[in-house]
Amino acid sequence: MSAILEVTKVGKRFGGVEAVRDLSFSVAQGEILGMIGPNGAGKTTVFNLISGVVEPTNGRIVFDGKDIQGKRPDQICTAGIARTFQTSSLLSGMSARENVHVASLFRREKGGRTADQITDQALALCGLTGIAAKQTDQLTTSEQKRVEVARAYATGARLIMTDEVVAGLNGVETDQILDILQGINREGITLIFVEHDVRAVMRVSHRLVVLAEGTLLAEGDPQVVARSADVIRVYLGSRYADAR
Amino acid sequence: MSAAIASMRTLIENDRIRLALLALSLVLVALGPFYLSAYWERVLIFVFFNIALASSWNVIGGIAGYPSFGHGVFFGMGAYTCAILIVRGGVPFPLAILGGGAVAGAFALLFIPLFRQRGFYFALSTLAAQFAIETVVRTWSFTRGLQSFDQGWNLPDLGSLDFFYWLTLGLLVACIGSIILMLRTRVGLALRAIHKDEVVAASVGIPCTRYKAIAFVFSAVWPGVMGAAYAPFLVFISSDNVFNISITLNMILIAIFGGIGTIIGPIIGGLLLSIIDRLSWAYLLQYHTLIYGLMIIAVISFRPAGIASWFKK
Repeated sequence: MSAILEVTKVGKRFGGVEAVRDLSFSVAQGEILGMIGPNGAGKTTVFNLISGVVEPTNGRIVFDGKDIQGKRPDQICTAGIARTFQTSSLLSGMSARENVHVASLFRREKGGRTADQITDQALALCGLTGIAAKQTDQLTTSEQKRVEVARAYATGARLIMTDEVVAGLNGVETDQILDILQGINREGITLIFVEHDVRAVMRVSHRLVVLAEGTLLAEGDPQVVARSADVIRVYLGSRYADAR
Repeated sequence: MSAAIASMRTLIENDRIRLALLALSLVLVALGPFYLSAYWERVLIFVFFNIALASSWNVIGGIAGYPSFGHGVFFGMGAYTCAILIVRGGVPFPLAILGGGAVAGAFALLFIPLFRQRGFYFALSTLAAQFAIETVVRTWSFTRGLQSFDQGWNLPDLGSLDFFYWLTLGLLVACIGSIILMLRTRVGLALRAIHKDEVVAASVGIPCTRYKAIAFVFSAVWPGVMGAAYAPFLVFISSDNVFNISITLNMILIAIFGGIGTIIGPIIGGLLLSIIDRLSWAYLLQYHTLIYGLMIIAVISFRPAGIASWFKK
């Protein structure tokens, strides 16, 4: 499969801190790429770099054959990349529907549908139709996370990046959101799935990349990568890796 | 008290009753010249100006969340444009009003680079712009600044008090109507999203700078129009009375007092503050500024969302 996203030797420095260092990886069209790493590994910074929230200090990011580094977040969204945020980013004072509708309204390719129809479809896909009128402060954590996914979906993105979208959810809620993501992926939408919940990552990811201290530690088949001594060392310490 | 507010809220939330109340109020206000004294007619004209200016400021400051501290400059520009067009060019008054709005709107485009800043820095930059422009107007011979033979502009008598009452009321209705219409388009949702979280707004595809520019120009055009209507009403204008920083401050205070970011807030704020202002002038002259200031501090401290928030669930 051809790569829809290629990240090549990307770095990001914040003052004296090198958050991401010469990072390279690619994402194939239609795959679900799991991205894991301990806190501070640079996962969210990678999302911020790809979505244009911060500019890379060096390197190239190519989406669908076009350079996107240095472009504004709205241009990157219009190009076909959407994301969710680690902490709830729902627009307060608005309903769940309005939060999704704002994305449908600004979607460029509507495929002959109205913004309302796109919003309704996104809400239905994420099981939110019944609570669409609720204000964001009345939503449960699970509902908030699903509104974020619905909003990203409503942008018409071909690549959606989810940042800890199952954090704080119970098992049932996690399964529900993973089913939604897999449903979105079956429509041909590529996903990058950042998560600490290894069970969730192993369930949905076609491939896994592991970051540590802003660099790529390992990548490949999730089952193989998870057994890698380097990955175990980073997560559990060298005592556990050496004991294997 | 709370029961009264609750019943008011029920009344206001019913769309039909709301529309009927609005229509009735508008008719009553429009018939003002038939039953009001010249004094109260003049007071209401100032109230109309204040509400229109605060409503315009509210678009960029309250709805988009970019508090401009230089918005009075567009009012002054409108007034000066109107004066120059009428006195120097003999342009008809309606065209001069449109000219005031157009010049203010065009000038607002120059402020777009300031949108790189937010909050305190944006406010300070717009305030600096206000002082800079005011200084130019004060000293430029074209605007009859101090370097030339004259200061300020005398305008011909263009209409009676009744005429200016209906003119300013009509402009106020058009101003608020246009804001309501704008907020119902995707511009309104974009501005609300930008206000709540600009990073999120951009991440769903909203070109934030473009929409902030639209909001800023929109919120500058109406002060320009109102300034153009104000110049012949006042007959004589100078930088002191149309570029004064108090015009900007009034826009902000009225919007905050009434309810920032809402349509009804600047209307409530404009009415209440004008009434308080007039009553304290009439009966407690020496405490006038103190009362006015304390009222604003009290509302901001105890009801930061303004008086309008009392009527919301």
